[in-house]
Amino acid sequence: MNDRFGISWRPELAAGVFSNQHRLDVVEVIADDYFDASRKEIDALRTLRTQLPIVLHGIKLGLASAAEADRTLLDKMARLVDLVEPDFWSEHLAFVRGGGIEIGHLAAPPRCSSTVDGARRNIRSAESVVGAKLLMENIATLIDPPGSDRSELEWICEILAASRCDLLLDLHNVHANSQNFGFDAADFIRRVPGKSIAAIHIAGGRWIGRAAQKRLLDDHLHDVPDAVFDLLEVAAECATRPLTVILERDGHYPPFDDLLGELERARTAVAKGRRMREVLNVTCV
Amino acid sequence: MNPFDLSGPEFLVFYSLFSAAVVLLIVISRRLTEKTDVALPRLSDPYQIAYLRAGNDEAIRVAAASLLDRKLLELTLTGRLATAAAAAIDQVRRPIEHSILSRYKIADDVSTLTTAPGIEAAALGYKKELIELGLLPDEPTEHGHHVVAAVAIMLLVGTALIKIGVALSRGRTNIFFLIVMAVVANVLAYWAATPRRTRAGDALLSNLKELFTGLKMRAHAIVPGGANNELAFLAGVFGLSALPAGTFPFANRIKPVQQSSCGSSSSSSCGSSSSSCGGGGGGGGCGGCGS
Repeated sequence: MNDRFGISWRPELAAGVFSNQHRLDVVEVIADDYFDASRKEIDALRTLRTQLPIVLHGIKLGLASAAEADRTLLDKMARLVDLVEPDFWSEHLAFVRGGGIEIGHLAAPPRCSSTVDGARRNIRSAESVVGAKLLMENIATLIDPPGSDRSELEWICEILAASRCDLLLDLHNVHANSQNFGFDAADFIRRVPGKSIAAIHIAGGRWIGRAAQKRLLDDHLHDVPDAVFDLLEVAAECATRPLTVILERDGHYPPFDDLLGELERARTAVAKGRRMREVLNVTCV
Repeated sequence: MNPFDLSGPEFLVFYSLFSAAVVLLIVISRRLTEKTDVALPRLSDPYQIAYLRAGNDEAIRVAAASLLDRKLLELTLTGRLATAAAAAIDQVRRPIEHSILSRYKIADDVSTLTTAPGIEAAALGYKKELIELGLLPDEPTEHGHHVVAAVAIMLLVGTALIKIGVALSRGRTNIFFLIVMAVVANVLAYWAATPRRTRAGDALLSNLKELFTGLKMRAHAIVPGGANNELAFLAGVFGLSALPAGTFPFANRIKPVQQSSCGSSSSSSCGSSSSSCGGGGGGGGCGGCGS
């Protein structure tokens, strides 16, 4: 399968991205950074697109919410998608505001029927306003959202089925949640509909807190742990379609060669998973 | 109304408007005839970007800076460049790097960097590529630019000369301001008519500067050694002056001497990197030129 491997675009990594284009297939750009961009900034982004295919990743829409998505932000996303023409765009299965208050980060909503309905409605609305394929990403959380009446897996699968959108499977988020709430991450991935997995995020994090309060935080500031590469292999076994695998790194940048090394490990893991799929005729959901 | 019958001050207003119209016409015609979107190849060569920004000498200097950063080239305290080791030549892949290292197998003064024929020829390869990409004007386009410039200058000089003739025939000798204005107008018209880059080249450079702004802002954090090619891209896109002198002290010693204090962009004594102006002082000299 024609799987693609790339990195999240950060201006700090510009030299590495430009000088290693032959080792990258795609870059992911944070859409929100360009919502109010000048013509000059958009032109620059279009120049980047002449070098490598771009996918856009949103943060602030808060689509997994009982509240309606912010129409102004959707319009900004639509404008950006029109101008940049990404291969696809993605957002999070999270909420970021409630009762007129902006939380300032991605928060896990209660996993209940009202947020499933709200997410379905918002995803439909977002796809119709933006007019381009949307992928939704599972998030990491440090607390089990209160008010939930179903598991994260059930909640995600219900939203995917109801909205008929595809999944951007963030493996470090699955790993972090599995560590924080004690479930089997590989089993989680095997039970996600393989046909809906279109893209994958890999990243690193760190442990915070002490003893019983210890939690794995998805901070994108550290190397991708071995466990995530193992999960990538499982995801490649299960996914029935070509995957776009993005390495996310938001700071504490190592030499670019180290990041390329992580992408090479990702290629190897995906290839291994694909081979396993062929050899063992793996059946995931 | 005959403009040449206007009084002195009135004619100066007319002439400034006329000059502005000529320059504006040149700019508009360029906007109408040149496209900004061209098919771009992978821009993974920072020296090519340096050539696009500032030409042959700049591409050579950026390549030398990158080689110095990677310790494949050495710059002695006495201002002599030398290839670090014969094996270094086999470690580089770009022709311009290869030619620099080959040239300085025998140490020579840093001032010879941009004048050595072998190195110049290697850098000129970029010119050909950039012309083919439509980022630099080709020969017919440059010829067209010069025709436009010549027509504009003839119009501006001719108009000024006629007025000067009329003024002198009427016994007026206060033509100084008109001469100054005519010189300024002609310089502006020539500058507008003969751009070094095409509009697509200008647009690409502007976009690259935007994309690399983050790198420029964290220039102080760039680690020497060339691991991420960051020095080469930073210098390629923004020039050697964007390199922090504390981290990359050699940058000041190979960059061109600032010419602004000389009052002329073609002053030979300042334009070269001779020891009288350059040396290790980082371009702070040149005080005696033009004074």
